Amino acid sequence: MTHADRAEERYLPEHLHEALLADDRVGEQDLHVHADQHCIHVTGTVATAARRDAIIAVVTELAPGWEICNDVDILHVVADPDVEDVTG
Amino acid sequence: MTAVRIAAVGDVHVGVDSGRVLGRPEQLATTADLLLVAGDLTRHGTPDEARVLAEEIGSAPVPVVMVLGNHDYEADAADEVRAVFEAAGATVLDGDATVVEVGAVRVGIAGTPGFGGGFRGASCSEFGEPMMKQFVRRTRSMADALCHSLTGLDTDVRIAMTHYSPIEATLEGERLEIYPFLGSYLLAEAIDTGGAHLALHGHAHRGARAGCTPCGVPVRNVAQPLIGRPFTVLRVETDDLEVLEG
Repeated sequence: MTHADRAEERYLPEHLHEALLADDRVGEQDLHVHADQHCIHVTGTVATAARRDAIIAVVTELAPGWEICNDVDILHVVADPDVEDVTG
Repeated sequence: MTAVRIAAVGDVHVGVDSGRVLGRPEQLATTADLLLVAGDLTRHGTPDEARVLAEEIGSAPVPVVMVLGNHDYEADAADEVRAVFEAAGATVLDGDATVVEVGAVRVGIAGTPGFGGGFRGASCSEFGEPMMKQFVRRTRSMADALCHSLTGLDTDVRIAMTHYSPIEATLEGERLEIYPFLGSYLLAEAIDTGGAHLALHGHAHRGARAGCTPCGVPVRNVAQPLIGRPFTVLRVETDDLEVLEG
């Protein structure tokens, strides 16, 4: 394995993080990518289920052959706003 | 066993009122084969300040290789500052590389000031405001040049020199909040991809002296406020490329 091959593997999580942010199908910043042996773990929160599902597509395209563990949550917003009394 | 003795220091911040910052020439002559200076050569980046250090560089008994640091850009006179040091005989790297022959050993040094952006899992991205993209792109272009220069070095020893840090480990002691302004993992990626044997940087005065990249390249923070001496000497055993503190 060359220096470049070894580095490419070591820095794969950073490349995937950048790709997930840049890809129109995802475009989310609150994502964390870790690589462990042959498994890529993605955690964080996105706004929609479609974006969550698209994570697998983006990672598969860039890192074929890796197992993907998509532990990303979908943002849950409750219906009622909360109220805080602010006194000086 | 053959060893190359590399004197290294950064952040000497020379002003027009400064005295000697690199110690006595005979110290260099007896302890080192070359001197690497990892940026922040001046206090405000003026040619007058550069001339003060250039006088010392001009009498150095070993080859001197430098990169600029953020202070050296402060007066918008970086080209003039660089020219002053080059006229004194130093090699000032800016994304390129040079080769120094130490006996039969060819030592390649690739250098760039580098820039900020943060580290793995907590770094800036090329996203959002144009200024943020510009910030990250500057670091990326410097890292790309460093990688290209390292890869092109067909030498016995390959050294990467930056001002900004390539790793977090040598920043420990600095406030976590300023890490993105102290370095970038993109520099470490360049160092790993380019197959450096040793990486040197400055900039982090309160950081730690030693660490390594994710692929195991030894990294040394040689900021003068941290090492507390004119320079430190790193001996690189060329038979097995082991780095020893001098």
